[in-house]
Formats: sequence, C-alpha cells, structure tokens
Amino acid sequence: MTTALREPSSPLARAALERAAAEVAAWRSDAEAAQELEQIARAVARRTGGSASAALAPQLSALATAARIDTDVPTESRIRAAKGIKAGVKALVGFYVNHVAQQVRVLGEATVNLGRVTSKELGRLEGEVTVLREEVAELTRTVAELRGDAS
Amino acid sequence: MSAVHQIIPVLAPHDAVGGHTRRVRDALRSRGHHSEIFAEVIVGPVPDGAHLLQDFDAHGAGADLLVYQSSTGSTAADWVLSRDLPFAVNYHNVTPASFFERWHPDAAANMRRARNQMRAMSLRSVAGLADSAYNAAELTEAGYRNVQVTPLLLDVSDAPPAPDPDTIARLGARRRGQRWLFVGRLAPNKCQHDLVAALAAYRRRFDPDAELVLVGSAAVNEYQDAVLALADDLGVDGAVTVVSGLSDEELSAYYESADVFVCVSEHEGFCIPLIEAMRHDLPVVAFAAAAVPDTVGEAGLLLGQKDPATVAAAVHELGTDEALRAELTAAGAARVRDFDLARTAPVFVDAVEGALRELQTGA
Repeated sequence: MTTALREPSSPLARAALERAAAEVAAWRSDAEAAQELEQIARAVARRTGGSASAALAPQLSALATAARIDTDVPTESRIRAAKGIKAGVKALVGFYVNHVAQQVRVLGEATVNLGRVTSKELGRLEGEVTVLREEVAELTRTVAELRGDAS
Repeated sequence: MSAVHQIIPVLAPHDAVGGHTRRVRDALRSRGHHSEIFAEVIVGPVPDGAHLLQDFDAHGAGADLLVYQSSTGSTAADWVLSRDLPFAVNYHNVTPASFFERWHPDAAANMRRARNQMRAMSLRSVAGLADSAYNAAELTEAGYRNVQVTPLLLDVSDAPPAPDPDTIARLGARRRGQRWLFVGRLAPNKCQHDLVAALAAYRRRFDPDAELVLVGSAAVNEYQDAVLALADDLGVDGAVTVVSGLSDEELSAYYESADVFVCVSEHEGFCIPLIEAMRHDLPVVAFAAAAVPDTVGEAGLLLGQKDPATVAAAVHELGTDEALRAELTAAGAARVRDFDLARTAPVFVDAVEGALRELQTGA
C-alpha cells in the first residue's frame, strides 16, 4: 500500500517525524491513552470493515451472480451445419440440461440465502462482542480503582 | 503535421481528466497538429473541438494516432480496440475494485472492467503515458512498451480564485481550534474514516477544539453514512463537517481558512487537491500510498503509517513548528511551479511526437 517512502532531505522534516514517532511511543506507553487508541481502532473496524461479516459481503455477491444459471442451450454458430447440429442436440437433451440447471440454481440461491442470514447474524454477534469488551474494560477499570481505594 | 485525436469516456467541465484532455488538445494544436476530442458522454456544454464518439468518422477520419484517456471502464475503450488505428494510452490509474466490493459491487465491477481493458490495450498500444511513476509501474507490469512518465496538465499558472468573503467570514466565526481539511469524493479508497479516527485521537491528546472539514460529494452513500456514524461513535460528530457543491471561490475559502491539509488515502492516481493545497500555501501531511509520494515530492510531511496516533502527532508537529511550516509552504509553492503549463505541455507533446515518430519509422 505504501510506496517507496524516502527519508525527507529536509533536516526540519526529518526532525519533526522523529519527534512525532517519539510522541507516539510515549502516547502508547500510557495505559489509559493506549486504551483510548484501542477504542478508536475498534470503532473504525466496527463501522468500516475488518469484520468477518464485512469480508463475507463480496463473496456472497459473487455467489449470487454465479447462482444465476442461463439454462438456454446456445445454438449459434458461424458454420451453418454446426448450428443445425447444435439445435438438434438442444432438442434432444435441452430438457435434461434444463432440469439439472434448475436444481443447481435452486441450490445456489439457497446457499446465498443461508450465507446472508449467517452474515447478518455474525455482524450482530460482532457488535455485541465489541460492546461486551468495552463493558469488561470498564469493569476492570472500576475494580482496579476500588482495589486502590481499599488499599 | 499529424492528426492526433483523444478518446475519453466522459468529458465533464470540472473533472480532472477532462481538464487535462482539453489542455492536451490545446498543446497539440499549438504545435500545429490537428487535434479533436471524442467522448462517449459529454456533460454540460460541448467545448470547442469536442465531439461525441459516435461522430468520429465525420470529424476524426485520417487520424495518425489516438490517445486514449484511461481512468474508468468504458465502451470507448472497446471502441478503440475495435478500430484499426494506432493508439497510445494515457493512464491516470484505476481504483482497485477491492476498495468498493463491500460498498458498491457495481462500481467494483466497472473498476475490474477498466483494468481488464487497460491490460487488453497493452497488446496494441504504441506508448504508455503515465502521470506518475506509480502509474508508469502499473503500465510496465501490464506489458506496455514505451512507457513514460508525462505530466498531468493542470491550470496552476495564475493565482487561485479569490476566496469567497462570506465563506471566509463564516468559517472565521466558527473557528475554535486547529482546522484540518481534505478535499475529495467520500470514497472507501480515500479513507476519510481514518481521518475521523485521527481527529478523535488528536482532540484527546492535543487540541479538544480541533475540527475536520471534508469537502466532497459521496461516491458511495453507504460509505459516507459509515464515516458520519463513526464520528458519532467517537464523540466528534460536532467537529466533522462534510460539504459539497462548492463554487471555485467557496472552495478557495476552505483552503485559505484551514491550518493543514491531511490526506490518508490508500489509493490515488495523482490527487490534484494536494497541489491545490500547496497553491493556497496550506501545508500538507499525507500517507505515502500509491501516487501520493510522486505528487507531493518534498513539499509535505509524508508518513509511512497512518494509525490515528501517528497522523495526530505529525499534524501536531506541523502546528507547533513554525520553521517547518514555512519551509513546507515554500516547498509547496515550488512544487506548484513544476506544473506550470509552460513547462508541462511541451513535455507531454514531445512524448506524443515520440510515439508518432515510432510509428513512422515502423520501430
């Protein structure tokens, strides 16, 4: 994603980036601040992806497209005789191809529906897990404070 | 002199590739070439020397070379491939479909189509003209020959439009803390959600009154909704503003009243707003992704990571180091001069003439 990041030739810019890196390190070493950064990261993941339900969406879309099966046997050909042969084959086995394709299509549609329901439920569970994690973190903080008070 | 016509999917008045195409036509004509533009779709009034692609045979017969402006999937690309005419491809990059799969499957399908067309054109293209080293690398990887980095032709010779006084006054009255600006469609590849996250971190650590202004319309409504919902989740909804449909003067006012231009986009073929920010003496902090380092050069603070803390700390440095700010502003002004048409137009036309010579010598 990043592309050939060269070190800036400007001493001022280099120094600023070094100071920023040191600031970030200090920031992360502060437990409370680090927890805030973690909360931000979780919120971003919840809204914009990074979740299993989000990752499933394009696969379901592709599966839905693949499940639409064209059951009309193609008979076009640039060669007149071949076209006739294809039409004959279609007349003989078209009904069977149709029969099989219909079943595959039904299976595909059922699979897509199952995937959508699973994805929706997964999304709901991911949301609940995030809320529960935040509650656990809050409780952990409260317990630590109470222990501090008690001692 | 030769006839060099350009083919573009959509020619629109305020579109970056459309503006480049019109300037290429002017530059080719000023060298004495016959040059017309043919577009699959023309939005708004038809500019001089522009025609619908369906009228090519009436206005474009006898073309020595076509230049296809490649940035999206189009019927125009198929048309170029179907004609027995030599062509070059001017590549502005295509957003990878993966960014849009989740949000807009149809847009993702168009992006896949665009990349397939770009690859298909490599087999017959006489030259690949790319407006950044990043784009040139993609053309080379796709199998193009005669790949060159040629500048995007921008109109930066004059001073930017005067800022709208009402907008300046309104933004001035609203100012509480540092104002971050980003200009670009709200799209998953531009990652406005990461800007919101960085702003939230910045407000907690450095400036509780800082705000973020996002100028741009929604490329995907669902993505814009998610960005705004994230702002709400993080408690910065009152500090994030989304505006669109601005006049040039109003946009100038937003550039003028901002403290820093922050870009954390993960994919850009060029990113003209970076140059516009420099044109308004607005310092730039940017994540070094795709063509962004090519566009920024040394005229911005480029970041190798874009987690909220890193972006916030870099913006803080820029806000507190006056000498750095002055240096970057000066470097930005110099970078803008690199795109002066008097410099860039001859480079582009030289590349086209090189392709013509290649054709004539049968190399």
